[in-house]
Amino acid sequence: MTSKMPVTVLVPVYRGLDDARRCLESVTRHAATTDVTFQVQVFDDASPEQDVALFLDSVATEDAPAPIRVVHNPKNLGFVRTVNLGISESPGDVVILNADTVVTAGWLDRLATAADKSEVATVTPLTNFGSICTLPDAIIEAFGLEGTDPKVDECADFVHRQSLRLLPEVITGVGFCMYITREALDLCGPFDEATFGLGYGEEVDFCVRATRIGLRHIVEDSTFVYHYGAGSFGDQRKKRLAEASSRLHDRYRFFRATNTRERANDPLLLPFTSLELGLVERRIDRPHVLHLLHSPPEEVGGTEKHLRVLMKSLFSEFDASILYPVDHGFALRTFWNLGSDTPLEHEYLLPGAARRVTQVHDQVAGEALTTALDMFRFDAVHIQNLIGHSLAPLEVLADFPGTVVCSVRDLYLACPNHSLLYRNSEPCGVPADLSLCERCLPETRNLPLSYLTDFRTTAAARLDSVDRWVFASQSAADYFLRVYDVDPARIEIIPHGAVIRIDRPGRQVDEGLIFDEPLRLAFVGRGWAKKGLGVANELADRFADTSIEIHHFGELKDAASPMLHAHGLFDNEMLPELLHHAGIQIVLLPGPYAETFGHVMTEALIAALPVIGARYGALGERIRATGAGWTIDPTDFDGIHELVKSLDLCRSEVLRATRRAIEARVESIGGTAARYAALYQP
Amino acid sequence: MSASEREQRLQRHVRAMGAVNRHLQAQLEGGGTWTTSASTGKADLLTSGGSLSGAFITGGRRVGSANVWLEHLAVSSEGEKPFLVRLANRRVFLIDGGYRREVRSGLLAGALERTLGASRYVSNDKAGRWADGVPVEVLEGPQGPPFVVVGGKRLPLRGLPLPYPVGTDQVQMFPAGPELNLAQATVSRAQFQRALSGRYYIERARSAIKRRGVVGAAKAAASRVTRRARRTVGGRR
Repeated sequence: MTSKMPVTVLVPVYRGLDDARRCLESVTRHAATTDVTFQVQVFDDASPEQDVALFLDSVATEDAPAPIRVVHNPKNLGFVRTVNLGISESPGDVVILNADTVVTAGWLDRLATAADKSEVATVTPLTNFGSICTLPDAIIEAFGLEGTDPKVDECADFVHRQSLRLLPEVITGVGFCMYITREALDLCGPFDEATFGLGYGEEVDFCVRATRIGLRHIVEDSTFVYHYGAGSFGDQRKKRLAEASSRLHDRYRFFRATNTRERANDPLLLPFTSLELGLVERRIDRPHVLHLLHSPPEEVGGTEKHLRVLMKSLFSEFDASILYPVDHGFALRTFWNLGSDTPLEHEYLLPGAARRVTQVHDQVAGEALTTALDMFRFDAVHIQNLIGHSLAPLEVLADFPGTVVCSVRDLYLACPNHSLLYRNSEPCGVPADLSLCERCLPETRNLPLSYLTDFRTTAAARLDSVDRWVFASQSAADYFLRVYDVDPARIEIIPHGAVIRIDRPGRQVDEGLIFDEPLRLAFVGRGWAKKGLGVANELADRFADTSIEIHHFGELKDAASPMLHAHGLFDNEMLPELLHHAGIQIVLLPGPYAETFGHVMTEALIAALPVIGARYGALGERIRATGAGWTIDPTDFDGIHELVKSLDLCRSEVLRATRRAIEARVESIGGTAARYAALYQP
Repeated sequence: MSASEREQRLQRHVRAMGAVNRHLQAQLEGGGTWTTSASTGKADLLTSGGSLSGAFITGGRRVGSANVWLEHLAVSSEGEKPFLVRLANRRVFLIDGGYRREVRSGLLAGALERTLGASRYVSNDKAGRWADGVPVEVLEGPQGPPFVVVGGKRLPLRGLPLPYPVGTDQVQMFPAGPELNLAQATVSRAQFQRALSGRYYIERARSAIKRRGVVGAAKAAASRVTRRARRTVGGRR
């Protein structure tokens, strides 16, 4: 403490018996648990209310721990003169406490401890009505501080528990409850009663004088003192404030600008944000999974949609958070169950740098994950996609005590050109001959071969960070195992659930459509080379003069044949109905890209349609497993042409495959959620 | 304070910093600065002469960038008539005064095409000949319509919906619905039109030559023409 003399709590009272009673009761109630030696000096400033004087006489006591001395001013001196009178009679530090306040447990000890720091002039606690020290609205509402039954002690306890104890510095203290050090009083003198004698502005004037000689004003951000507020001066309050403001402006021309700047760069933003977050604390008894994603979860991609549905399916069992790269670093989004039907979604922006992560090990990405793991307790981490994170998470997760699951949705870990298309045209199949990669990578990714070798070496050294590798198909696992040596016991094959509803009516064979109508094939997906637009164009041209029709559903990225029936963008959820409406009998997926699963094939099966797809990758695997379609070599135009011609002539084969498509088992994401839940267990 | 309490406090601190960062980022993106809440308790009447309680200060957004752009645009307007180019990766640039200026907004690219003509396809190598210039972005003065600077001239924009700043509370009065992607809506239609134009055949021919060589492609084209002629004469099957 700045002084070993007892602290004097000055309480000027003019009107308001109830306020004064509550205030003094609260001071007395917490006195027994207060370590600081203090005395209370109550001034009856010639109150016109008889009851006030009588009450004050009744509370006067010399008993420790809170001796209360009552002084009756013979005539009304006004707030400022009364306070100055008290200051002049106080031996040490003083606290100017408005009579319409309620103090809380530990208030004086914490204010005194803060005042004990070097060069402190004043210390102000947080409150519900006190200029910059006013708590955020959310907290005022949560504890009913503006209602008739405010939960004062509960709020004080909450503030004390949740506070960051940053003791932020402000340009001026606030007068409702201001602790003033003896040092400041000795150096600056009392309040300027000549200028501010009518009240308002005197504490600001005092604080500015203290600042000018190098003293500081701090906010004790773990202490809450309730303030009824605006009781003083009644209707004259606004007028007096305006006059005080004008006087301050005349005396300190810089003050308004300084005050405005402080409001804009609120020094209490961080403490208050922490308190607000305290209102929405996670239920720590619930397991918590951190998902690593390559883009914001609301994006339109399949992985994002899959994750959203997965989190929703596991909402009753698991809380989730998502770490993903954004323009200015990394963001962490919560998806917590706080007991209502709606998840609490709160986004934190972690410190970082530009979004594009191009290094094998990106330090910023590693630090972002470390920060995320420091922010909350997580029981499991699920890597949904490492793009945008580099390989840094695998290193960070080496020390993670919980389960680490990695879903291999694309083959980014095998090659940065994860479409595995040699020079973006032909499937490379992850060649052992790296001279092919040496030609491909500079062209497709602007990367040298050394990047690939370095990437794979780094990844291989960190594979043990992952406890369970999840693939949507065996073929994806096979591609991965061409590059990395992973213990088969740690591999799980979990086919992706459908991202659209699977319970569709009318999944039945329409023989009239199959036998009596022109053969119609639908190329579904983004209209570009990677997905096989070239094949669709070629077929459309070759069949231009026949009854066979080639349709396209999706966004056109490259030039399309005029013979292609282009339907444009569509809503995935409506795809089965759109296909039926267009009279489609077969879905054509001619992309050379080795799919790791193939969501469109799932959607085709939901629409009860067979599929033509690449013989390799997940499409080939699934077509062979279900019998719901035919496999092709996407680079063999003639072969595909012959197949389609044959199917046109042999509709019974189309019927057979249609029946197999109907029989094929399709699961929803919710249906697969239990398998993921099992993986998250330690 | 115990070690556990210290750890929890640090956790809270990092969370608060993350939330404050998000808040500040939202301000940057939203183009304004929220000052402290306008609730009764926070009111600061001592500064009534310049009170900003609860105010939204606009005009902070990207001012730094725009100033730099304007300086550059003012000195780089010489040269041939501006035109649009498109790369294989679908990025659209305005070639203006010898610089390539990226047009990030599909909405804007569509509007510029109407004035400057359709974008020409150029290879990455060719596009690399132009130095990077400032992007084509929408600017707005204190009065008058928003505009873009092209060829040293200010082209006013019509029909551009401008956002009006509102507070978080007001935003939260309405639940979020599906996203409206203006850029996608415009670009896909334009691309669809292009796809049906003669350019398709040029790209087809290029692809055929790459696959079969000049002679092979010519043969295939000739045989296609012959087939068509025969069908025209003989009627459709």
